[in-house]
Amino acid sequence: MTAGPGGVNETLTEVGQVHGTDGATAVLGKTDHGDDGGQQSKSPRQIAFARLRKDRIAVICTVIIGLFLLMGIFAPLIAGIEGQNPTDPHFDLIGDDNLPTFYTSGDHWLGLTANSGYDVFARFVYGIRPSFAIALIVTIVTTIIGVLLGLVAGFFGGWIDRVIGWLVDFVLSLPFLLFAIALVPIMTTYLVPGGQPTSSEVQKIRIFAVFIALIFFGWAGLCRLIRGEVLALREREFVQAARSLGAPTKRILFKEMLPNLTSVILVAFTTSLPAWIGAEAGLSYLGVGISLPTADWGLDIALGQQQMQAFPLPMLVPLVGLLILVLCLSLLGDAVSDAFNPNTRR
Amino acid sequence: MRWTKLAALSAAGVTAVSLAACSSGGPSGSGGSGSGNGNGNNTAAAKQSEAAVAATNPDLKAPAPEVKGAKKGGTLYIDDHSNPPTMDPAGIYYVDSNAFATQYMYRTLTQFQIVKGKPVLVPDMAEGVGKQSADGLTWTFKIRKGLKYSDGSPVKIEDFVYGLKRSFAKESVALNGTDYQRQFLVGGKDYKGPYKQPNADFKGVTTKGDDTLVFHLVKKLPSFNYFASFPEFTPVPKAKDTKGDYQKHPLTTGPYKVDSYNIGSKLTLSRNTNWDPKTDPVRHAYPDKVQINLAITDLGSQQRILANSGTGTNTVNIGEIDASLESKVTGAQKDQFALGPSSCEYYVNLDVNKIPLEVRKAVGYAYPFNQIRKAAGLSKLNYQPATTYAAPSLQGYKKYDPLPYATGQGNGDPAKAKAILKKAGKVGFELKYYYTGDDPSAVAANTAKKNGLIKAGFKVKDIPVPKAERTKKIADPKAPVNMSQGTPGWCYDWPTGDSVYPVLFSGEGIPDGTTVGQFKNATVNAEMDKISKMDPEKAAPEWAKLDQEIMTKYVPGLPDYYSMNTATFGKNVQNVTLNPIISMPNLSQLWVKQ
Repeated sequence: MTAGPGGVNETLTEVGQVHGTDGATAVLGKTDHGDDGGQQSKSPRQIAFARLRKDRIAVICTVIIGLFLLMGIFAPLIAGIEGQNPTDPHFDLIGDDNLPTFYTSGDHWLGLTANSGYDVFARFVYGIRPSFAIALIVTIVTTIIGVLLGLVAGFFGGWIDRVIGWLVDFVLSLPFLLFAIALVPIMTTYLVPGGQPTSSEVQKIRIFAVFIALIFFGWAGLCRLIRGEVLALREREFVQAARSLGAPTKRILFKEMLPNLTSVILVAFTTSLPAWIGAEAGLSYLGVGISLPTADWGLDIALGQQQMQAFPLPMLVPLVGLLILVLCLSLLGDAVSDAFNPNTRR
Repeated sequence: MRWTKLAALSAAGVTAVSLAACSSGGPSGSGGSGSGNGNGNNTAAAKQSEAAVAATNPDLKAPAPEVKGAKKGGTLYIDDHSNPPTMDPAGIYYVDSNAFATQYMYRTLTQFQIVKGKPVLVPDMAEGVGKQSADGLTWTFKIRKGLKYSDGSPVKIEDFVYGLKRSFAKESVALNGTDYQRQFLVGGKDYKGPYKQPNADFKGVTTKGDDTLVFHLVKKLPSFNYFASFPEFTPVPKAKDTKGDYQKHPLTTGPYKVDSYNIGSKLTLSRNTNWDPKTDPVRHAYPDKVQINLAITDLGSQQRILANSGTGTNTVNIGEIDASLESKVTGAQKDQFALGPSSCEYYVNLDVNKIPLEVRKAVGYAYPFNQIRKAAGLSKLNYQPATTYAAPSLQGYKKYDPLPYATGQGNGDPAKAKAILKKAGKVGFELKYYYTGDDPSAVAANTAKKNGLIKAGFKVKDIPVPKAERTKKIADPKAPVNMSQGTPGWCYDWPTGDSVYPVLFSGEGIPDGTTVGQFKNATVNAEMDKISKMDPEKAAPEWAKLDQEIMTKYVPGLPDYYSMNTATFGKNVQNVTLNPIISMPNLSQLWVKQ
């Protein structure tokens, strides 16, 4: 993470460009004197964001992700324009062979799904909600857990480090997909009040179980990363100085070290978000996540796949949606990583 | 017979009839022509009503005439999506295992010959189809001479007795087997089989000389010779009985012997050279080997067959045809698909003890058959809407005007149902049932079912259970639910009413979960006892009358659909015909083009 010589030079140049002067002068000359108050030195974070703003791919991806987010937030409104609901079946428009009797129409912009005749457009608009919500919450929770445990393990060392390290190894050694597929039904059975849940109760339990499964597996990688960073940081002069001044542990961890880890955390956050969206959709696709009638991209792909040869639209719409969203999030994650870590820039 | 063949659909229900479809040019091939045509002109319907009349031909001579053009050799593959719980002759009672056993492995006393699509009871190891005494309480079968096991040793008369005795060992080899021998044979109620009671004197069957079997019955069973076609009647030599392991290395008497049997995946058979075609009036042994693949996925298997790729060209799939392949098997590849009537029917059970009669009728009015079948995505080729409790291929079947609450099709009439509920003061009546929660089509079907019932003013408590557990859950008579408990469907064992109505409606099967709606009624039981004792010809119209009476007065369940007997086969598989009684293709008549 520490920038090599090239990185430093580049950073200096960029700071200079921001100020419209030669980089070296800007840093060494003017700002130190402090005689033009509006001109402050840039923090590494500000520099990184400046880089991001100049990265065309990052900007395009951000816009697209923003649009998807807005679509999810205003799903009822958008589906309302079409006048359809994602969970209303249209059996009267389904023919003898269980396929819709038309491809698309003014009422159903992207047609209907086979069998039950759900509106494809409404399900597309609503379908982003579970994926994004689950992925976002899982990413936030795993980041918090991973960072906290990583800080503690790296800073204290000793038996705490060994215990946490062992936990991390344990979690990382479990096969994620297999474990998640097994865990969701088992949890559904054990979390049932009274042993006889109805379909709607089971739906809630399953969403909860998916959360647990994803969080259980999500924190370990980040924890290991943070621990490594902390091991390096705790020997640095400013930490030693704070220690010798008698600063409390809490202050050292959160005021001295954490700010220096922001970029690592941010990069981990942006790269894991698309992974969790993919994981949620994958679990729903495999039949252990969200179930009917709730709209969900992974689930809709699985259902549409059955009639793929005869009528591909109900499968393609959520598939393309998922593809674009995950691609944009991944590209944005790469861009964020590049912006914070000039060594990796192309 | 039990209903494994369509287990996947028992949760769902299926389609047969379409609504007016609005426009053509959509993905639905039927869009242009659909016009609410009902089921009248459907070929499946026409075939289903070709009743399998109970006919016998005791004089059929062995050997069977050669199939025209048939050649020996090659390997035949059979793909079965289910996994029979046992292949031991004493415990076989499922549609698929029964066919594999009786057609290839175990010869019994009688068997079926298909004449122009209709099954006729003909002799097998016995010389005729059995003789009933004047009082109907004794059945006599004379056994052929020169019968051998696959190891070359001769079949002895006491082996038949021992084989039948094994079918009483309900704790081990006969776990899922037939129950008629317990109900009808003398001493059957108390006999526990040769392992638990090795010295017991079982009086149900005796021998006369070295070639005659005499069965002693406690009550009249005019269809006993049909029952004698079950694998439970095959001979088993006591010296070679290895109990639980016998199914892996059995001595067979049929045209094939067992090479290997991996439970749950594969059963490999090869020609039994000790089977003498001159003693068998029906079976052939054309393929050199037969490989039965168990627990396979129907869709993949059918795709392989219709693509005629790999072993697909030599494969028969016995599962229901997947909806996505419907256009293929009704169009260009229709000569690779066989469709015919079966012995099976499915029901929507309504617990008579927990749901009042008026409410049961209201469920019938509200039940969204069409929506459920569409949501499940099932091909109309596999089903016909049912309006009676017995399948149309039953002898004496008489279609009466469907009652308004038991039409077996339509979108449901929530307004009418609500009015009935209001009148009975039962608005908001809670219907509780289990459904398969880990199968997307079953979940989709349940969503449609639930919507339809809620619209009619019911409260619905739908409890999802895993597919593997559902069979057990719905068989539990004490489960805290009031709908869809008991048998999801029934395939009759022989085409007369005494293998349908007493099983479903006498109440005897309540602990085993083989009844419809936990129904038990003294008046109906007395009537069934009376009809059971009649001659089959006279009994047939009486059974039909009883069907209508139960449907009108009691409604323990809604008839859902009659299932169709289907087979999808590769282009090298020849001479595929279907047997409506055992609901399977006539496996012993197949041959493979080289």
